[in-house]
Amino acid sequence: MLQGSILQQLESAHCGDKKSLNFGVYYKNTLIALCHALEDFILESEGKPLTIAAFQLGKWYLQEADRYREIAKVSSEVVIMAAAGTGFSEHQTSQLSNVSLVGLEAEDPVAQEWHLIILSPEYTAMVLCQELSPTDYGVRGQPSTDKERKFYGFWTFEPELVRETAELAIAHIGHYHRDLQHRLSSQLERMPSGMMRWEDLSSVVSRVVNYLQTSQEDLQLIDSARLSEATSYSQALDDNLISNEMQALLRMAQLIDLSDANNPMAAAEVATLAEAMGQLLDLPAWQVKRLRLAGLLHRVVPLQRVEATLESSQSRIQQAALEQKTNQPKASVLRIMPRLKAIAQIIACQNEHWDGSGQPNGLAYDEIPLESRILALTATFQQRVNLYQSEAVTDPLNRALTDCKTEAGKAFDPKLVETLELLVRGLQQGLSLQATLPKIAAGIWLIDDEEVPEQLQLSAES
Amino acid sequence: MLLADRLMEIEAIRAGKIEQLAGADLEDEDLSNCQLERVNLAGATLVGANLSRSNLKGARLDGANLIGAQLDSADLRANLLGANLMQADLSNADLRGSNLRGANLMGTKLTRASLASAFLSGTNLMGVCLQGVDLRGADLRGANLSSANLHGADLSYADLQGANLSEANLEEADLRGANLAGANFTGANLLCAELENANLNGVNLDRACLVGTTAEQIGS
Repeated sequence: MLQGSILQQLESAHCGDKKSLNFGVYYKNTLIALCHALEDFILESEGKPLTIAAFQLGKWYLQEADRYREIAKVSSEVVIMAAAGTGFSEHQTSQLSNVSLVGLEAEDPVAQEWHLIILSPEYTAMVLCQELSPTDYGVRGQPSTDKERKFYGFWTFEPELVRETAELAIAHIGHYHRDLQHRLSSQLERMPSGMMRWEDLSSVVSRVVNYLQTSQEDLQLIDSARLSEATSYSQALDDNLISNEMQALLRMAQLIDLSDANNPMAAAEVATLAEAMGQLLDLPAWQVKRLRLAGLLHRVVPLQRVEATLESSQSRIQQAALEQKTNQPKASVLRIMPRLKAIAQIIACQNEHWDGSGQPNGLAYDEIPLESRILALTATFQQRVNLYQSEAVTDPLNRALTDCKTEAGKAFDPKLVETLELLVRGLQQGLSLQATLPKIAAGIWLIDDEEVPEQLQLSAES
Repeated sequence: MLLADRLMEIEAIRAGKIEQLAGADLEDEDLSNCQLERVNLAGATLVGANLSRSNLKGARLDGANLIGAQLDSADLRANLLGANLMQADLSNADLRGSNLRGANLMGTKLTRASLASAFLSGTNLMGVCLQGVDLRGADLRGANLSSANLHGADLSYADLQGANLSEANLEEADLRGANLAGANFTGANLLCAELENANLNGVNLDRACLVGTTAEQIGS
C-alpha cells in the first residue's frame, strides 16, 4: 500500500479496530460499472452532495467529463483530482463554478488511486481503490491491456467512513489549494450527518447490481466474439462482477445492521444459528449454504407485519420498514439478482406462521419452505436473546427459548422448536458458534448458480 | 459371471440391498441417484463410475479407486482415506467432515464443494482448483496446496500448520482465526486476504504478495 495515499491513511487509522475494512480486488471494468451506478444515483437523490473524485490521469477524467457536467448540476461542489494532462482544465465541465480541479503531481501517491466520495445527508457512498504496483502484479507482470488492470480497496455506503475519508481527502487537497481546503472543510462541518432512507438504499443497490449485470452481459458478448483469447481473464472479471453484485446486497444488509444500534449483529448471528440448525437437521450442504445466505440477508427485505406476539421485539429499523412498507415496490431488491431467486423466496416466506396465520400468503405447515421456517424461528430467537441480554436478564438463552416454545405449533414448526432446544442445550454445555460475518469482499463463495432444485419445499425430518 | 447375473447384481446394489461391497469391481457402472448410505466400498474399483447425486453418507470408500468417477452433488460425508480421486468430478459434493487423508486429488474438480471441517492433513492438493470453496475449520495440517487456486475460499479457523502454500492463489481468501504456524507461503498471492487473528508464527512469506492485508507490514 502506498505510503501517504488516502487508502493507506484510512487503513492505518482503523488498524486494530474490531471490524476490519475488508479490502477486495477490483478489475477496471468492475470499478467503472460501480462508479457509474453510484454517480448516476446522485442525479436521482435530492440532497446536493459534495463529490470528490480521483482519476489517476487527466485523460480518464476527460472520458467522464460530460457525465460530470450533469453531476455538477445537482452537486453542491465537485472536486476532481488527477495528474494534469492536456485538455484537462479546458473542458467545459472544468469551467463550471462549482467544479474545482486539483492537478496532482506525478509522484503523489494519490495519483495512483481511484476515488469516488459522495457525501450528503441523504446519500453517502464511496469507492476507494489503489492500483497494484508493477511489483504487486507478481510473476506475470503488469497487464498489457487497460481493462485487465487490477485495483484493490473497498467500497461502502457507511456514512461515518465516507465522512472520515472525505476529511482525509480534503486535507490532502490542502497541499495544493489552501482556499479550497477551507471551503470544503467548512461545508463538511455544516453538513448534518444522516442515515440513508431505506428506499434510497434499496434503489441505489438495485442500480449497482443492474450496472454490474450490464457490464457482465457486454463481457459475454465480447467473449463469444473472441472465444480463445484471454478466457481466464474474462472468467476472472465475470466472477469479480458477480461477486460485487452479491457484495452490494451484503453491504446493504451491513448498513441495516449498523443503523440498528440495538441489534447490530443480527445478520451474522441469525446466519450462524440457522446454519447450525440446518446441520442438526442433517440438511444437505446446498440447503445449509442457502440458509446461511438467507440469514445474512434476512433483513434486506422489508419485514411483513408480525402479528401480536412478537410486536414488542421489533427493532426500530423493522418498525421503520413496516411504516414504509406501503411505499415499497412489490418486487423486493433481492429479485434483481436471478441467482438469488431461491434466497428471495426463503426470505419472503419468513413471516408465515405454522398455523397459517402469518403473512404474506397465509401458508401453513409444509407449505412454508423449510428454510423459511428455520429462518423465522432463528431470527426471532436471536432478537429475543439480544433483547434479554440488553436488559441484563439472567439466562437470556433460556428466556428466549421459553418465548419460542410458547409459540410452538402457532407461529413456529414444533419440530424445529425441539431442534432449537437441542441447540440451546448444546450452547449451554459449551458448544461455541462463531458468529462472524463472511468476508464481504469475497462474495464469490456465496454464489449459488445451480438451478433451484424441486426439493425447496422439503419438509422437516419427520 | 453371466451378463444376466451381473445386471441383477447391479440392480440390487442400486436398490441398496447389498451393503458389503469391499473390493468389488464396479468400473463404469451407473450408480447415480442411489441410496448407498453406510455401504462398505473399501478398496472397490469405481473407475469412471457414475455416482452423481448418490447418498454415500457414512460409506467406506477408503482405498477405493475412483479415477474419473462422477461424484457431483453426491453426499460424500464418508471415509475416503487414501482413495484415488484423480480427475474425478466432485463439484457441489457434500464433503463436510469427510476423511480425505492421503487421497489423490490430482486434477479433481471440486467447484462449489463443501469441505468444511474435512480432514485433509498431509493430503496432496497441488494445483487443485478450490476457488470459493468452503473450507472452514478444515484440517489441512502439512497439506500440499502449492499452486492451488484458493481465490475467495473460506479458510477461517482452518488448521494449516506446516502446510505448503507456495505459489498458491489466496486472493480475497478468508483466513481469519486460521492456524498458519510454520506454513510456507513463498510466492503466494495473498492480495486482500483476511488474516485477522490468524496465527502467523514462523510463517514463510518470501515473495508473497501481501497488499491489502493486515500483515502487509510484516512482509515488507
